[in-house]
Amino acid sequence: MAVNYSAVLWNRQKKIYDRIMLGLIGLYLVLFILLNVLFFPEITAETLIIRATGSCAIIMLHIILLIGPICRLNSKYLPILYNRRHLGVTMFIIALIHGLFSMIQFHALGDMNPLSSLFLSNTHYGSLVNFPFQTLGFFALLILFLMAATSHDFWLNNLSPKIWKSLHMLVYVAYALLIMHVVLGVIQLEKSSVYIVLLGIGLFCVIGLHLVAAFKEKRVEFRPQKDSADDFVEVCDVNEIDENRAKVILVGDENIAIFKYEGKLSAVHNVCKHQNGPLGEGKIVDGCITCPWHGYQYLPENGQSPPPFKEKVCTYDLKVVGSKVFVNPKPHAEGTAVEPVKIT
Amino acid sequence: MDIVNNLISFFLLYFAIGFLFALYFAFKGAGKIDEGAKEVTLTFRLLIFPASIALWPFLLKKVMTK
Ligand code: HEM
Ligand code: FES
Repeated sequence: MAVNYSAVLWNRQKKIYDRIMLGLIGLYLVLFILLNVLFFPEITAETLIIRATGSCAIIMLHIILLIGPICRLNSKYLPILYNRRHLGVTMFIIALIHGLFSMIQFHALGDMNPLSSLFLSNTHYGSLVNFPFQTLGFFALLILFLMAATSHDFWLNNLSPKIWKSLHMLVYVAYALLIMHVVLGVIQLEKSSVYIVLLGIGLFCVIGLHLVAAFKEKRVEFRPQKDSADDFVEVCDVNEIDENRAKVILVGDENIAIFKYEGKLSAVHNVCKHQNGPLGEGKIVDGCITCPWHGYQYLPENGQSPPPFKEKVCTYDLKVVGSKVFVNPKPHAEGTAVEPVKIT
Repeated sequence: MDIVNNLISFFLLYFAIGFLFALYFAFKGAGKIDEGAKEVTLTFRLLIFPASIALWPFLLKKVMTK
């Protein structure tokens, strides 16, 4: 957004979010450590920290990967998505503690430099069972670092949304590396198979939910644009749109979100200026269309972000005949005011 | 063995140069490529510091062509 950057744009909601997140993480770590001390009294403090933070980070990564598809399936969960960024950065910090403690414990005490030791102390790169699984964790951590370090909007704007997005898609590479890191590590250290079973369930959920959400997305309605004199295309019945929500329709190449609020209808381009989030899956909050991904806002009647922000999206003409809604898929210039259509 | 050690040296050198570049970029260069980053808090500058280290060749090019 086009004002001076601040470090973190905190608001009340995000503060509550962060408190709950940190509380749950604290609770998990304390429980993990207590249970381990209880059942494995011979365990060392270092090993305990390595295991507590490693498992905590991988659980958080699963939550991060699951939030996206869950929200696409049910918009009730959007508040969790809203601040996913803080979840990601916190996950990185916890993973970093795990990585640093492992490096100290296993690689910093010899006479080799720790990085050389990481890559060269076990050279069974051709073996599956004895594979140096720690190197996989290292590369995953490098990716998580890049993502956490570039999570501020400053980077989104200056790396360009396209590069930024590709960078953040690397999370799936990191996830794959980490699955191998844990599986190979557990096999090697002959730990309980509980880890593998839990990881299998997690992997199943991540793949399954992504597939289901992708399948659901395919079902957005599509109307080919006919070139009659009257360019309006029929969309749906007025009653099919919920109050403060939108109906999304693709007409030709135009991706349009039609919002219903306060007895009126307005149509805007369904693509958020921030990171191409689907505006039509968001809600109207305080009179503004609010993007479900990170909360950018636009006024429905002109597609402009309320001042001091300067983002603008295209608007479209609508009409209602009987109870049927029609849209003209020819976009107005970004930020053009269009009188909302009254519905009775 | 040597390949690995050379790669690690390269990696460390890359980050050492990146660190020096980030000192410049976080406190001055960022404001050059983005108006919004001219008058910002110290926390913001520290926040963009790590990625300035990692992405220094890309950012150097951006600052030079500005
Ligand atoms: C430099 C990077 C890393 C190193 C050197 C490293 C090293 C290790 C080691 C030595 C273990 C076995 C610990 C034991 O059970 O005694 C382990 C396990 C594990 N690591 Fe990593 N790791 C790294 C990065 C990561 C990252 C980024 C994650 C996740 C976000 C992660 C998640 C796990 C998990 C879930 C386990 C199995 C559970 C456990 O024993 O803690 N690791 N790692
Ligand atoms: S995509 Fe980030 S707020 Fe819309």
